[in-house]
Amino acid sequence: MAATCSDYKSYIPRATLGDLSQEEQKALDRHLAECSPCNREHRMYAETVRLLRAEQDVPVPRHFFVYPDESHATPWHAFLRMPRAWQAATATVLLAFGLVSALAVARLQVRSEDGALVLGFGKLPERRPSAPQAPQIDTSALESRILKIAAEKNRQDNLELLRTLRSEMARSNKTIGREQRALLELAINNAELRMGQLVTATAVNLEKKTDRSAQELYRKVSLERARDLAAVDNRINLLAINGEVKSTQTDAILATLLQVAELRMR
Amino acid sequence: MVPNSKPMLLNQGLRTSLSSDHDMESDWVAASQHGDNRAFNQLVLRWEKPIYNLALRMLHDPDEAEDTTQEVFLAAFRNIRRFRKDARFSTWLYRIAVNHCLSRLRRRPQGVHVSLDAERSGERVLNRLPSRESHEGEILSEERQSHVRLALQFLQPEHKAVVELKFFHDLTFEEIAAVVEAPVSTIKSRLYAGLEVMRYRLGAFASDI
Repeated sequence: MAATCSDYKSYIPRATLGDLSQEEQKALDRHLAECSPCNREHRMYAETVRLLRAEQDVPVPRHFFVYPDESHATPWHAFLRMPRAWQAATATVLLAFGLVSALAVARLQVRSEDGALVLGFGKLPERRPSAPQAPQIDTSALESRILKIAAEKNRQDNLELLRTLRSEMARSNKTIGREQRALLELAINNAELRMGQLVTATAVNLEKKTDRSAQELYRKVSLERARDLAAVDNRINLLAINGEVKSTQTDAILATLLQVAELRMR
Repeated sequence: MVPNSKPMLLNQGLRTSLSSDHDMESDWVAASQHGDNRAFNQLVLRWEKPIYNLALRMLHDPDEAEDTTQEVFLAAFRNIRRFRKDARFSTWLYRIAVNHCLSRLRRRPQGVHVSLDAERSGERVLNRLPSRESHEGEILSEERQSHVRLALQFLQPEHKAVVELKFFHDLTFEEIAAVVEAPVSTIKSRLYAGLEVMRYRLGAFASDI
């Protein structure tokens, strides 16, 4: 099947850049000799490439030098700029420091103890014995015991206070002064006088009360006698009314009754 | 050491020999790896123009290109010890530059970025030209260059990086693959896709000629 213009047009850009094989280039050359549109297309590509290649660089507006302060100098930079001897010395120091650090890290031991990290080099100290478990506390027993102890203590304190007071009183009695004794005697005398007056007054009052009681008794007895007399009168009247037949016996009874009445009167 | 206006491969005639330059560059890299910033500044002097122009074409903004170039050299100085001597210093430096530019382009909103100062660099070139002797061909050349730079802005960032490295820095497919850290086949497909866009955008100039 013969190649068409479309196939050759795909060769043209490649041909302008020398990217065709010898066979492809020969075939394209034969086609371009016969086909003016493809030939024109080829020339336009070639001219485009020529225009591109003819482009000239413009001069730079300024130089783009880089200065050390713009380059964020690092310790490595500083090391590189040192003289050889200084570089060797620095490297030796750093190497020694690195070795010591490595040894330290190799012997570093980390242990977790009671929730805290324990760091150490070499052998770590023995693990501390853990605190014994707290026993279960019987609060009611403890409370009663505390109260008991408190009560005992309170009682002891009271006894001590009592002993102190007694000893203090005894000491006070021994050391009481004469004036105090006179005052005390005066007070006792006054008290006795006041008690005598009181007894007298009480006796007067009692007498008054006794009189009043006798009068009251008399009044009551009088009333009783009047009442008895009234009863006797009523009975006499009744006897008188009922008959005079029993006059002899009645006289004796009356005499007796009169005697009784007289006895009562006394 | 006189700074070169183009990478080593383009300006062989201006220097005594390729190998002596390479040896000198290796010495500067080795000294920089030992913290010698004067040696690194020799590398800056050698590579600042290609890197600045790469950033200028990729970002299409002179101020941003200037900032990016400074960032690239600072990053290179800070990381010079990670550079292994089995790779080329230019490949390593281009990788840093391309990554910085792609990072900035990804942060931009979608669309073609045209800086108000974009033509400033062109003006500098024009100002340097002797105005009395200016002739039509030079003005036309300057106009084409500005069109090329504008046309580059229509490329996707990854395509732009490949086109930049291929056409303006003359790297091989393998070198570009090493810079971008992608397979050669991917590099080729990106390059041809970018070239197609460029042909479309620069078609008017091409047809004139």
